[in-house]
Amino acid sequence: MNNNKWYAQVGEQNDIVVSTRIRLARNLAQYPFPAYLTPSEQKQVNTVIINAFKEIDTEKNLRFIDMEKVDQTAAVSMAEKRITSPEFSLNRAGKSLIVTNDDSVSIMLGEEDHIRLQVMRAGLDLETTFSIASGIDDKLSEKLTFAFSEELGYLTQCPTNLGTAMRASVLLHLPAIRQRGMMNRLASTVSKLGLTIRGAYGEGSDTKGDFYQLSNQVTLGISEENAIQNLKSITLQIINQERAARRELMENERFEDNVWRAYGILTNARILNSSEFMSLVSLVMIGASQELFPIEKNLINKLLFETQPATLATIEQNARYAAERDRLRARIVRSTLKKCAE
Amino acid sequence: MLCQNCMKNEANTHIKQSINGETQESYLCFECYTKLGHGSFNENFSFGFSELLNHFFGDGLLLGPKEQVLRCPKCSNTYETIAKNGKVGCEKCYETFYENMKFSLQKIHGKVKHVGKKPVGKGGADNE
Repeated sequence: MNNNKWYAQVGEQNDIVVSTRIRLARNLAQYPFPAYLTPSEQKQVNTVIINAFKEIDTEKNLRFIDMEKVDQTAAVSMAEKRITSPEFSLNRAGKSLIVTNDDSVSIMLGEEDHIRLQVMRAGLDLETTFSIASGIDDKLSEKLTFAFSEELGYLTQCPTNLGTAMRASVLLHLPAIRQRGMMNRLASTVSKLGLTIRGAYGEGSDTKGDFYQLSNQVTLGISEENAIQNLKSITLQIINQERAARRELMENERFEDNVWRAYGILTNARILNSSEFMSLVSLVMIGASQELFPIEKNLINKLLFETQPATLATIEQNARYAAERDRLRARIVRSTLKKCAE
Repeated sequence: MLCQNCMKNEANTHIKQSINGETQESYLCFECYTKLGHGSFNENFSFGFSELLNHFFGDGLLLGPKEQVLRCPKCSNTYETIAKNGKVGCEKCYETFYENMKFSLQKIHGKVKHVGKKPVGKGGADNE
């Protein structure tokens, strides 16, 4: 576990909002979009972009990675840690990645657009995250000519991203809302408000999905600021609902007992499959937010990133096999929780 | 249970994803998991709009070729090609095929006039 990584930081509302992400898509006006470039043409475009980044990277904070030289497991691990998209990690021909040492800023070259810039921060922090992304975008636009029209905004390979070409999203941990069966209603409400909510369930059979990604859907005809404010105000309402639902659940003695039992298992188990881990960690996080036991608010971030299949396999090669993975997962969870208790 | 992709190895990863309430599941072996990617905590930037996109470009096809097939002067793609691929060819395509796409853009975004930031430097210059 590298404490320099962005996900080791503690952010606002971190007990419910795991992370905030802003993605901007940009294309160079001079070249066809990526789908119409061969890998070698794509590399030429990448070189132009990389040179521009080298000029603006005055603090030498960026790493430049040729994805063709990255092996499959390491590439999928990047996707698990959300540094790259799964598609980008799977088809690496002609692709390059630019990433900061803390993994908070990553730039995919040759994904669906020439440039996919993303900034991530722990907790809920849409304004800062956007201002970092926008600052990089501005500096870059002084060096490169972007495909842009007054009418349609930033021009992208897929017309659904036209306009601001921005996706703002927050990853939410909503165990209490889900437990109380309020998820479907929430999903239908947010879709009417121009947002999309996706559940992410992780690996393992019978997983309880308590993680949800909420993001803006419309990009044309709405400014970045308004899209962000809309997302933020709905996120704050969801946080209030989740907090109230957590308090209510904890008033039930049996539920509180389940929370303590979950803590007992996670701190002692020797074998932990992903499904069991996900269900138990949700209960433990509810307990932690009521300050039942000493757990850092950003614990979820750390554990989620470290216990996924390819990432475990980069730590120990044997973790390619499910049984070994479950042992390694239990070890990581135990030692992380033990550190919290010290 | 066998891996749904290769049908050879035992499946040992289970991916479940839901989008606005609709759930998708897949059971894969580790090899196929790393080959095909996975759904957990990731999403396509464009929300997997593939069906919607076919529809998107499909509307424009109704305008049909006139006497002569129109090609983008920059990337030389026809509207039929970009509709088939579901991907626009280059920045000039948006100008060339604007009439084909206008109606669908309205359907997706509601509005078809950009409001928001502009490139501060060279990008703001004439892209012609």
